[in-house]
Amino acid sequence: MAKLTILVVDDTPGLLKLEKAIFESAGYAVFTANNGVEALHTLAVHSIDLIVTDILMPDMDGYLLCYNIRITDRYKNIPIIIYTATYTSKSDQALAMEIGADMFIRKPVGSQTLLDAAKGTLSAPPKNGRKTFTQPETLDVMRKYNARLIQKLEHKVTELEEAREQQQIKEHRFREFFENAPEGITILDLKTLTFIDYNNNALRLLKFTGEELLKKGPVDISVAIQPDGQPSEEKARQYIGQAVAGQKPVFEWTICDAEGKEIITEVRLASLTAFNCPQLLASFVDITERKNAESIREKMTADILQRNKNLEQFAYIVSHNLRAPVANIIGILNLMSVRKLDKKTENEMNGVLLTSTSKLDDVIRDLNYILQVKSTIDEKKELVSFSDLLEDIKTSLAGPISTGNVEITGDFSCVDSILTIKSYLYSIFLNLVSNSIKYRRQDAPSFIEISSITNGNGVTLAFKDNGLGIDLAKRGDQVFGLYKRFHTHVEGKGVGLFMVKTQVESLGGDISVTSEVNKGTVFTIML
Amino acid sequence: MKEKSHASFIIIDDDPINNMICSQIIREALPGAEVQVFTDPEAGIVFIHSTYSIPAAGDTILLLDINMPIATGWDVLNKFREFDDSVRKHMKIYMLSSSVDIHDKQKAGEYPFVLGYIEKPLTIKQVQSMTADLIKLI
Repeated sequence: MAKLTILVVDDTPGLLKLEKAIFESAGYAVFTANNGVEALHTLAVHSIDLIVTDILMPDMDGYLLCYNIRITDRYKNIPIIIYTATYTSKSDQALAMEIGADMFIRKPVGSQTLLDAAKGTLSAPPKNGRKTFTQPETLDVMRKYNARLIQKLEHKVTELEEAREQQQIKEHRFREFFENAPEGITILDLKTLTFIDYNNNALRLLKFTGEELLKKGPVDISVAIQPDGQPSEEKARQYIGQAVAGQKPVFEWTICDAEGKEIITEVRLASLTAFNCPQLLASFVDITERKNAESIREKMTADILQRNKNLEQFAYIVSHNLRAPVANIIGILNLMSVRKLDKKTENEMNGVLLTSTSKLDDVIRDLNYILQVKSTIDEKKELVSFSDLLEDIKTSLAGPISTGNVEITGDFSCVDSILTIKSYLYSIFLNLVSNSIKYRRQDAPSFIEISSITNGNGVTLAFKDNGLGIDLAKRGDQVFGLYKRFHTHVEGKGVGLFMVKTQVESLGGDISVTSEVNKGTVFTIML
Repeated sequence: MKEKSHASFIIIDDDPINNMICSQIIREALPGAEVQVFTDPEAGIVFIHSTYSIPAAGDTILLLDINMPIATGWDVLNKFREFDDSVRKHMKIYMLSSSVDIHDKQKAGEYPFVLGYIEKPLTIKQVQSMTADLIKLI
């Protein structure tokens, strides 16, 4: 028996192929056509047993194809299945049957359903024969066909209009979001490497006008070399590359605004992937304040750690210096209890006992004074003149100055006064000057020079002498240590410099020292 | 009757009062013992090096303070480490300090040639046990 032949009509090549395959696998011979016109050509040439057609096709749709087949004598009895995805309402189905189709199937259905439908239509002709058309019937069906077309068109137009409205709403929303975002946002065109869009905050940050910004690219609004030493152009290229590759780089970047001011910002890049134009979203946030806060916090932490360390050291030293005389007192009392001592030894022991006790008392007084200075200063600040202070010191130390033949000069031409606590500043001057006198060189005339310069909001004092100097390489970290001394040919407790440092720091300042052995020493105090 | 001691002591400590007390205590515990005191650690080091380079020199107990203004007891020990073995074997070193800080005691333990750590004030009993150890070592 000859194979039954099916003509499949559809303008979607993929579906055409699929349906062909389904029918061929079931043993049918298959012809294909892309639209109604092609289908009629194929019908004229080949013998077709069944037609399966889509409706929405160019040049001639499925309805008209069906009509044309039914009004042609040669083909009017060929079964037709209409198989559609777009014309799926009840009215569409009714028209399909009126215009002469045997069956109406809504896409998509499984291959078995399709095969069953084909078999069914082929084996069972309709009871009343297939559709024929009289003139008035033709008019009527055409009117219905037009109505269906118009309805489909209206439907499509409504859909399009709704879509456009949605689009406008989204755009509007995006625009508002873009404008009101706290960051400065720009859009960079990657082909021209210039900015093609910006929000108000971007203009506010960069201080360019919109017009000016549209002529610029990322390098134009940045400093030439970034703080880490890399040229901006190179670095920008790297980050842009990362964004294009799909990453979302976040990094610090120093920009240069229209007025030439350098501002540290945090930049975020993201590639805009919609449509085929390569664009980048670049947002900027001014982080100058954040960086300042960070550096202040770092400094404070370092400060606190140092103070803690100082306190620990201080506690250790003081406890040791308190214990030393106590140990001596116990030792002496032990000795005195061993056996009855002769009068001379007894007197000696008593003398030593007294000395040790008073030493203990000294340490406790030092401790008291130091703690008083370390604690928050409640004392009043007043305007103190350096030159006047120096005269006072020279008077106080008149004796040692003349014995040591020391010349003391002060140069306060830059700045001669400061708002501070007078007693502390007096103590600082006194300690440093008397130290320079005590530790002077014996083999040459001695000089002490004190000078002052302004330094930002404060004053820097320098105390320079040409004395014995300190071996800072060996003992640098002990210069300001409590009870530490480097020369023992003159008396001293090793408290002076510790006091000076404590007082300078209580006033919120800093002290540092440079020195060369047998050449001299310079103490620099920043207040 | 106590026999005259031939023990020899060196004390390095910047506090003259301590040195006086220690000398007296040592003499009470071991009459006739020899005691050398140094308030300057540098001078003490020089003395040890010159005196004990002689092979015939006897053994001496060194009492070394820790907290001294110019050079600490640790500085002295570090210098001592560089001495020749011939000098070092004569010195029996004890740290003698008013510090009761545990870190100081631990640090003393890091020097294998430091035999012990004594908290001031030095007592007669301690002197006696030191010399007893000395005899054991010989």
